[in-house]
Amino acid sequence: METFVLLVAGGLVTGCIYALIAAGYAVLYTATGFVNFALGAQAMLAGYITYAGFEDVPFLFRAVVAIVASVVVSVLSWIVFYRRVSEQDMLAAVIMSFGFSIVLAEVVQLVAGGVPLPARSPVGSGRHELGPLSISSHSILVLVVSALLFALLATVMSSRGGATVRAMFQDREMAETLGVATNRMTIVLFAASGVFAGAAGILTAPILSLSPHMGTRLALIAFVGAILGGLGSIRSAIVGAIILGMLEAFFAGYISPDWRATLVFGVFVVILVLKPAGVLGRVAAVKV
Amino acid sequence: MLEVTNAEIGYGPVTVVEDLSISVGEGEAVFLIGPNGAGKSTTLRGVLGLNRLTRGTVSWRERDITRLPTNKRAALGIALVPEGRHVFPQLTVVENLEVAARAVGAKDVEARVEEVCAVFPRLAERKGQTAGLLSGGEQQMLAIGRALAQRPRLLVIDELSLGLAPVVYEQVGAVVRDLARDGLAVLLVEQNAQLAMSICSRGYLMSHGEVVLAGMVADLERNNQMRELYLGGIEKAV
Ligand SMILES: Nc1ncnc2c1ncn2[C@@H]1O[C@H](COP(=O)(O)OP(=O)(O)OP(=O)(O)O)[C@@H](O)[C@H]1O
Ligand SMILES: [Mg+2]
Repeated sequence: METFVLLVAGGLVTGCIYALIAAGYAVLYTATGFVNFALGAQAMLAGYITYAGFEDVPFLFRAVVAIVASVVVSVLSWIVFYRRVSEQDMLAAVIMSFGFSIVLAEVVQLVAGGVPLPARSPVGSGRHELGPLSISSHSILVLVVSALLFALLATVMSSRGGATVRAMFQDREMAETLGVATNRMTIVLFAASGVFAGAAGILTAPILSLSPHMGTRLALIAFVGAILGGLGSIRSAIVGAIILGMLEAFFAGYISPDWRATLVFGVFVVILVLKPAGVLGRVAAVKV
Repeated sequence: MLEVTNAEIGYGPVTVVEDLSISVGEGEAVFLIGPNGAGKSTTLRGVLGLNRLTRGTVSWRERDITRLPTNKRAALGIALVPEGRHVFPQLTVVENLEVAARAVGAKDVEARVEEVCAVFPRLAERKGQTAGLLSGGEQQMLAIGRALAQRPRLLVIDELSLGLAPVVYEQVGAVVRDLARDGLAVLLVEQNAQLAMSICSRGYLMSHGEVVLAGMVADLERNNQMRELYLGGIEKAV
């Protein structure tokens, strides 16, 4: 029983981090049909900016700079590379984002070195006993911050302005015809996905420590999570990513921690074969 | 008010409309009729900027808007009721109307929603319903209502009656007829010539991407080509 509760909590924490990236995927995918695999690398970049050096600068300031950097990379990469390419060939743009994430990782490796660096959580390494459960302060931070971000996203999307975004998701050309500045709105959504990715990087680094290629793994697992729920809806993608985090924790806890990656990609294959729109998905098929 | 001059419009390398000129005057209702594939929808897409003209110009109240992006044309007062309605299926009826009003910077969104509901009482009864679950006729009303929520100067309609039961299109037709009578300019693409002629005062017949006949409704009614093609022979005409 204790193991079970521990695994649920642990799975929820990693699941929330995956879900931050998955939310970014879903926001961009529903708006443009594009999957931005570089969100993981943006998370990595934000992690390095926050934790690698600048110890004398207050944490909050480093975190804000890190998130701004992720937002800038998000928006510029869309405007400069992906937008034009995706109009011609969506698959090429998706592969390009993968390539770009490798480039980002190499650049960080050149600057900061390839050796994993520890990252100290802003809330320290304390633990809290909640009944049978012993949970770290950092895990609580992860849960609180991601819950706040998801709540913010839900509030914005269900607001009046959010109705315009949803209209654009459902029929972009019609929204454009009615006068919605869809290009500008897409840029705002890229910025939002950058905030989520940056937060994911800042939250994940103290758990996994910093390494230049941490983003690649994060990007892939979050993608499988988003597909598991359904990439066509933000809510489904978030729920799918959290479920995948839990599955991963149970698998590691009850079966073997060494086969996690196999589990994740096993899930991926099963979903693609049985239900490509995701377990919770409504759209008929994945468009990529 | 709207002048399309020598327009060439297509899709990538495919040219669909060649050297087409049409105009709609201030407060005038004009129809565009022609066989399937004639290029009527493509022409409207050119007017809205959804397809770029490869030659020719579109001007709006003496201003050249050929290169103006689509999303800036709604603010000028051009509103489209597209072929196939294209309501936002997962938004409610009211949200559909609000999005349209807000997209042109309306400050009196609620008043506009009420205005549309007064025009289409059926929509008023279904305000909170998801648009995708409306019947075809109701969706067409919503598509028109959504355009009206923008308080346009020109209402561009692609296939008003398509797929609607006679009772419903008579109803919808009556609404558009009243709007036109009250001075709203209309550019109407419509397969049903009787309906088109009952709404508009002038019209164009298109075929293979060109205007082959143009004139006032009174003259078109007497034209043999028009009668053979659209008015079901000589007896049924008038
Ligand atoms: N997206 C597209 N790409 C390439 N060709 C297209 C595209 N859409 C339409 N066409 C072609 O353009 C021509 C004119 O189409 P358009 O839709 O303008 O005709 P229409 O007069 O509106 O016909 P209908 O009465 O069937 O609606 C057709 O031959 C069609 O095949
Ligand atoms: Mg058509």
